[in-house]
Amino acid sequence: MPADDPQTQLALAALDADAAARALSGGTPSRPSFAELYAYATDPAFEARPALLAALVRDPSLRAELRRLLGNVAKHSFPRQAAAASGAVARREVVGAMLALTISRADPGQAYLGIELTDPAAPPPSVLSLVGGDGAPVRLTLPAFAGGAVQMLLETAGETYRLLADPETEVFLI
Amino acid sequence: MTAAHIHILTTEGPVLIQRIAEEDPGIRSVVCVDGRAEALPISPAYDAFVRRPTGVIERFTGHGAYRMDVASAVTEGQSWQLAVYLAHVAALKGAATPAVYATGEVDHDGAVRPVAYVERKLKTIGPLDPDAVILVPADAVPDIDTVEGVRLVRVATVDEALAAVGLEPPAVPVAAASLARPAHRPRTARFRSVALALAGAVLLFWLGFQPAQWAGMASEGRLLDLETALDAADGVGRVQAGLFRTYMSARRPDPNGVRVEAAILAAPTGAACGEAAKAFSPGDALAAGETVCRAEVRAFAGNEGGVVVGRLAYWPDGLGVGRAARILRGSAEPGGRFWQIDFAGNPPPGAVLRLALIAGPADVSGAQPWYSDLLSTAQGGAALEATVQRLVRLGYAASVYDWRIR
Repeated sequence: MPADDPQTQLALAALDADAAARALSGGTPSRPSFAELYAYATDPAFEARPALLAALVRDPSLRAELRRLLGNVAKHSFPRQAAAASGAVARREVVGAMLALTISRADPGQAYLGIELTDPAAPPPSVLSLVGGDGAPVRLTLPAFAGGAVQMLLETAGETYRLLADPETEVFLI
Repeated sequence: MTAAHIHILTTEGPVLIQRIAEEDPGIRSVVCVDGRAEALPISPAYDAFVRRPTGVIERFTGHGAYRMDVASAVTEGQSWQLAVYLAHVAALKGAATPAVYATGEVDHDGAVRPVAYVERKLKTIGPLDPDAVILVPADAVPDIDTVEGVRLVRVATVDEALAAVGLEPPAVPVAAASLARPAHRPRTARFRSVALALAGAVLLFWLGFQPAQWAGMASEGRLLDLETALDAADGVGRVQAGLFRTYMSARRPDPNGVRVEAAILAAPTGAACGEAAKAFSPGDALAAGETVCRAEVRAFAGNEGGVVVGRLAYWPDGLGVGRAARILRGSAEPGGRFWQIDFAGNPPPGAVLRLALIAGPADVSGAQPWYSDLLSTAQGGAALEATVQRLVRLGYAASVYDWRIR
């Protein structure tokens, strides 16, 4: 359900109004609206306010809410790997999709992120969302898939690589 | 930085090729600007230009993945191909070149094809060294002979371009070689030549382009690429593909040679899962009320060596029912692979662990669509057997193991 769909907009506005009313009556501190969180999770063009990102860092329950939301809307979800992984994660695989990190031989400070879909004809994802154990989530717009695959270059010192290599991180292809 | 000074002529000005470096064969070739971690949009076209069967670079370098850095962006078209071809040959030979400015498209046979906007590209060239070389496709800009005092060299083939910049052609592929024959020879020598030619033909049949390429894919574990290439073969290639499948099938490891060890760890309570957990064989009955903590599975390659890889799937509601709750790739261990799955809660009755193993000459890379059947379909069923046979024809043995947890 796209975030700019009129019915979705109406439903989100109603949810926000309800949350605002509860916050006012209960005296609880306000938090980013569900509509904003929904847009962040589903709309590649949505630019998050610094306040939303700060709230996601500060509030574990909001991060958990985002994680659940992403899990619901994602075409493919890669769970945390803590139970089975030791050290950095180089490859994640679920039914329908595979994600691999390969350090560049030419420049060890960079790495290739490859994403492959089992079914090349399946609708390709357009956004990669990463939610780690702490800190702000990271969202990345994906280039166009070709033949069910896409490849990007990442700096190994960057946050995106750090999160992808961290077994605690959940990865969502939206 | 390469010792060669080869520039791609573009309408925005010449772009220096700074570096060409081999990358992991599992990635796709990329073009980046000045070492930055951002692939240019022409990267997929560069990958196709490099990689067999479409590309021409892998044919003489034997390697299918490169990173190329250029001084500024090259945004579209195919006219970069001639300069890039020259840069790959120079990099392969470690050769220096004069300053080279080139535009032209290179086809599969090494012909240099015409490109657009040659005159506009030439106008962007600044002052030149006297020994610089400017290469354009034959018949391009007939009314321009020199730029900045340097003569244009018109080339119809990559060999002409290589000669113009002082580079030797790379080794010619076997199939393109021709045998020179003297006019008169003794009968024995002629017979020997015929025998050699026949042997050569047989060798070409077996080791010619396609089987050599397929063998490369098999040794790199690129099974889906291999299967696609075998399926796409036609004409003589179809016969070669059939024989290649037979050959690979015969050479596959014995699935019975793979050794598997599995243990279910259980404890009186969930809290005791750390130290007090006891190991049971998957077939053993657990005591009533025991908490299942985790399962540990190990697989070891047989005496024939090779690599064993696989996936472990956890089906809480029974094999193939709903979605697998977890699918683990496992981690490499000396001589084999290890999987461990922790259970957050006690597995429900009927929960199944399915281990799918693939044994062969190399770790499997790329997409692996066969796992969806290997991990979910019933043993003895036609779907599973078809998938196993699909891998057998690529030289890999597949086997599955099921454990009911409670």
